[in-house]
Amino acid sequence: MSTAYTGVALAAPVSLGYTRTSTHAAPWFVGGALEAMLRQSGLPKSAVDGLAVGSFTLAPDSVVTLTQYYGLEARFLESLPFGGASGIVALRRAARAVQCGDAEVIACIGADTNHTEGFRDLVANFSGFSVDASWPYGAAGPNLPFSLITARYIAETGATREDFGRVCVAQRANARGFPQALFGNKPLSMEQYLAARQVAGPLHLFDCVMPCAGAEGFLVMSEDRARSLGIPHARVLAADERHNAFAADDVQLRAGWNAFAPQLWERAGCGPQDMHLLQTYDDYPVISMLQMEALGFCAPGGAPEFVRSTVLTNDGGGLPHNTSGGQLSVGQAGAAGGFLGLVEAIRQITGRALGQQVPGARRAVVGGYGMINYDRGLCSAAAVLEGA
Amino acid sequence: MNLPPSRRSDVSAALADAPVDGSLRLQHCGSCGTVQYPPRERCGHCLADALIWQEISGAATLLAVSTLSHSLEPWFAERLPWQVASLRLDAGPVVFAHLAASRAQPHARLRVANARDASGAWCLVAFEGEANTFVRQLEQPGIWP
Ligand SMILES: [Zn+2]
Repeated sequence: MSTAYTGVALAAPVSLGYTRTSTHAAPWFVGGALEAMLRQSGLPKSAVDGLAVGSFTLAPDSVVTLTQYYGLEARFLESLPFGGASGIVALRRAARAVQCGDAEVIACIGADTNHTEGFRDLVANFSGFSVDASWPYGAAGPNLPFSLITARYIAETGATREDFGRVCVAQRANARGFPQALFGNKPLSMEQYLAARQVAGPLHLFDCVMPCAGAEGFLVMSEDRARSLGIPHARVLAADERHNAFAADDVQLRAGWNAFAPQLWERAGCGPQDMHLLQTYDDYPVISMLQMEALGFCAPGGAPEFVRSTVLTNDGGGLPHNTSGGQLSVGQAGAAGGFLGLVEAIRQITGRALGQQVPGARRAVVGGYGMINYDRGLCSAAAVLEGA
Repeated sequence: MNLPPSRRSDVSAALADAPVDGSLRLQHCGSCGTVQYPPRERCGHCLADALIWQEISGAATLLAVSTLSHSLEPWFAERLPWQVASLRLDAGPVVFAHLAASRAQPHARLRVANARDASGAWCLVAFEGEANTFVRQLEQPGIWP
């Protein structure tokens, strides 16, 4: 049993800079997040002594060169190559550093730019395995493995296009009013979802995230510090991560969450039924459904029935899911996508939603999932949070 | 002229010379016998670097099929829809392959073979029947590649 994250606060959640493409480089986005977090917390830059950054487009810069770029003197630096699990991994690393006194205030930031040809370059060079075994077969990056996962999921569970549509349509409704959502003003009906053009196998247009530029971030500090600053903050009831779990499975219909979820809830001292909202990593709706199953909201293979019988919108009294619209409605800003759900959860459970506030939300569980290497995503993470 | 992506890793260079006759050559560990894919410089099971390229059985079970209706790659975009499959080789690893057996369903028994795509770079193809049916397919323009 690992030590609890007692005394750690998550504060100053920020989401900014979302655009389809950008001529700014990644340090502009990271720095924008840092500036916004300082403004929100009232802390001077000199108070930040730790920086954890996830970004695919940061090269030739790194988290080290960023200290000089922003004039920071740091005693804790972390580079986060975990893609969609970056936010929760940042939380875990930073929380331990704060608990152990290695740093006092750590800025955790996921940010990426998106140049016009950026997405093709990113997926073409994503990893050695992908270069040999995925990219030559013609699909745009992760569309191939996820169309195969979705096809197999349909074959095993009987999921229909309407089931995936329920996830996407509810998220689009949740995006309304969230200022950073690139599709926040574009309502999506089930008819529109079903009429969309096919992309790869069972995946159609609205099953796929839109690559974009943007930044997400939050501060990790002691609860004492957050209280003395008088800023809203959230506590970490439990968090875990697992990489390359169930490697022998033919097709990835479960991942690291399945391995650690029972212990996660035990450490958190509560269960799925105690959550006021769920944020899943939603690069494709099938992955959100795998998280609903793995995190215990329904049985394995039970997510199609779960989404038929559960209202997933913010205002429906069911289980609000991806309350700012998720990546499917906000856009996927590279590694920022691995922070989006976590940052939104911090806002919701501290009563500071920028769009639709879930009334009375105090507790949330957040899933992370990242680094599609060839046929599956290697990183899984989850965190259970409570508003202080 | 548009071609499929021709870039491959250095570690897979031996596959550039694999015969295209319906057989399958992949990496095999000289130390523990594991067959592995995608190619790498060490055995993913025992970590030895004594890796040998050798012919293995192409027998495989179809896991899932994806019919591409969209591609960022112009060569594929001109030839849509395009079928790709994942398969579990009897010899061990999961592979992605161009699917020549267009009506095959999950759990179907197929064969996987080395091939060259239109760029001349190595690739894998899944097909039904024996090696000679694959060779005959290659001789018919329009089927593959
Ligand atoms: Zn070996």
